[in-house]
Amino acid sequence: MAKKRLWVFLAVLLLLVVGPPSRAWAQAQWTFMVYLDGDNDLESDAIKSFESMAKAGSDANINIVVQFDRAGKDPSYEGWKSCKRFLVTQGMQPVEAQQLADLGEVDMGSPATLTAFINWAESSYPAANYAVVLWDHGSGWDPGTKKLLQALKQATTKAEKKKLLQELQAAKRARPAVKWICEDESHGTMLSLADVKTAINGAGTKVQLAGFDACLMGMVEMAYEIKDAGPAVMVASEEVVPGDSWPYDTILTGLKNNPAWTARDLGSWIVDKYYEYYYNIERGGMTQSAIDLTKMDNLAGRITDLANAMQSSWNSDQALIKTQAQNVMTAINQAVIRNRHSLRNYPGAYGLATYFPIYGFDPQYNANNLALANNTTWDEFLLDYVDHLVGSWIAVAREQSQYFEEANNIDLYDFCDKLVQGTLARLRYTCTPAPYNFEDISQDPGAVKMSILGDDNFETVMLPFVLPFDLPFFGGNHMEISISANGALYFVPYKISFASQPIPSLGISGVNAFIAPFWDDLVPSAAGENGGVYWMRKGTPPDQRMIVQWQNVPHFIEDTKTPKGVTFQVIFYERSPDILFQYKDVTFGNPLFDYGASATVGIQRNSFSGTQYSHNSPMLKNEMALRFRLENGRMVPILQLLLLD
Amino acid sequence: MQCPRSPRSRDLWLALIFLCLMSFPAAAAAKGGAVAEKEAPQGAGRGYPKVAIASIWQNPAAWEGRKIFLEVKFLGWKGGAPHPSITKSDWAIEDGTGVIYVTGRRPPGLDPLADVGRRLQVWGTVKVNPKGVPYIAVAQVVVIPE
Repeated sequence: MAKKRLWVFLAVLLLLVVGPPSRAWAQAQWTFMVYLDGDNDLESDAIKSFESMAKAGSDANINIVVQFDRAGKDPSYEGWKSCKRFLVTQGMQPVEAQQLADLGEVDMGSPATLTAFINWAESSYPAANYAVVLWDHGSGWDPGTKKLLQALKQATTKAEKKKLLQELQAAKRARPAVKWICEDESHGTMLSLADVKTAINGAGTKVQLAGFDACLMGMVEMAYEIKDAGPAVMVASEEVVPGDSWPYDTILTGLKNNPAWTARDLGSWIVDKYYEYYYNIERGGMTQSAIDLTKMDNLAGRITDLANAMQSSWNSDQALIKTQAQNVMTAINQAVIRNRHSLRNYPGAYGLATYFPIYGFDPQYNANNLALANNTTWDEFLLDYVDHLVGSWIAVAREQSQYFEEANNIDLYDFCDKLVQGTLARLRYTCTPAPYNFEDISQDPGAVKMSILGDDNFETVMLPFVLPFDLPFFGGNHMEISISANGALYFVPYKISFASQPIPSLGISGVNAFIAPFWDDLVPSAAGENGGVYWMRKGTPPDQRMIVQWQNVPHFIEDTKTPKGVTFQVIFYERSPDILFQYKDVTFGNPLFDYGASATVGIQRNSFSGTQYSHNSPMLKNEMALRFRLENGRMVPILQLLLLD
Repeated sequence: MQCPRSPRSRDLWLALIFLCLMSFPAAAAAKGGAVAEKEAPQGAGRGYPKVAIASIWQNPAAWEGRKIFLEVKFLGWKGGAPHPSITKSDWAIEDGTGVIYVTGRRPPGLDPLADVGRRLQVWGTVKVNPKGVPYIAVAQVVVIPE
């Protein structure tokens, strides 16, 4: 008996010394949660993201946990329409046999659903660190019709539906701006920024990293909203996100290989892998940033300082505003852990966008009790801006700042940079008739005939090799100029849209600043031997000129061309910033296009300012000339400019 | 021109007419399938062919790269066709014959959920993604006033 007691005593002692199997030992380093909302038109892309996660798969250190809600419109993988949970392992498919649970139809647009998912993941897959990624649509500043949409979905009687539809129309007219993520089509719901905060905050788990695999979430408003909810790091894109979403395979493989990574390490890795994945894709959301949320209080304070300075001193103390703008830039530098962006598409995307509307501040900016609006004076500044400042130098800085597909969002750092560099001048071209003196270069042996082969194509001329003088455009110096088949010149290597837009307008094609002697759907390659696009340097210093001429160029129509072409030219001068447009013949033999009936003529500085002579109006004549003269013009409010044009 | 009288030449004419009749639908199909393209009113499409969405779906390769004009209803993010996955913000349109996605900037203020049903005129270029899904790369959008 004593021997038995001794054994029991020894066993207890051993347990006390060694301890029970430690939970910490069984814990993974990371539980990576993905709130995969495919209950909408992105279901197929959600499936692809699941497949991408399964290429990496969980291991002892990393749990990849997914709550996947589907719309049931995509027949692949059993075409189910419910919400399932998975622990994603290598090669796993999102099918019933692999699920951990089927939750039935759940409302992914409810903060309670997100909270429950985070809590479940923590209790089922404890780890030293947690990341949660919200996957879905992300909206711009859209009408706040969430509740009405939800009610409409649940309405049962015809009268009720009719009444709600009328209310919806009224709400649309009022256009209260609300920003959201994770639309659940089955329920007509989505998560507002405040909902995201509530959901993450409501979970008992300490989430270290919050990621947004959704469009337009890389904003100060989002980062500030969740700064106290737990995560120390946010990863998001200022611009729209491609349908392929994040490259989860490389992101998670990196995490598996480096399980000791901190949230900052993981955030930086996500940014880099995203950038690399989309680097060679022509169009895509080439912006991604990792943000240190512990720095948001400081940034918000500097934003308030700047907003106050702009309101009080816009016309009296430019130095104060520049100082405060510099302070905001410093605060952003401290907050941005990692930022990658396409230099071609988004040269001014430094990591955090903010709401700065073009046409007028929507008081419903704060419709969902937005923390940034409550705790800073940014919204008061925006209100004041619309009332008093649209004609000021601050408006010039805003016009020149990087903006995104949601044009009410600008990059905050870039705006501050423009303020710091800013002058009081609003440079503007005026357009007046000029004496016509066409300098035909098409037969000149010194002229270069451009090989603009394809329809809508362009060719770039490297200016330092061909011009001894700077090509003037709003006082700037340019290294290269793109000459488009479609009768325009600009400074980025893109095709300009074949459909001409009024000036100013938001560029669809990424060409936001341009010189348009005759922007229309022209086809130089169809001009044959007797036409095309030519350029030439003429004259001797200091009176040299650069001439670009479209000679006998027909218009595109119904996959073919008009019977005849137009001839016009642009002249730049060494001794003057003036730009001359000359028109020898502006008829195609088709009244739809003759005399500029479907063309835009003018100069656009950026998407918010420019000088237009005509748009879709037959205002040109044969043998006429227009001179665009650069002036340090009076302050003209943007809205007035728009109305004038 | 006098009508030919001899049986041989009559046969020749009949054969020619038959060939013409046969070649017309073949040419139409080569252009975009059996769904007829609607004629836009003079000036409405500004010289671009008004296309039925169904005809693009019937033969995406035949339409790839072509510039077209569509008169449609906005479907936003309500879907109804395979998504080309260019961006998550691509938006759908429908014209009564079918649904297709558009990639590119929406007109400011056009909400992808609340403005479903708004009438639009869309100019763009037909493109096809690597999986064969056609879509429109937008060049211009006009929202028709309600």
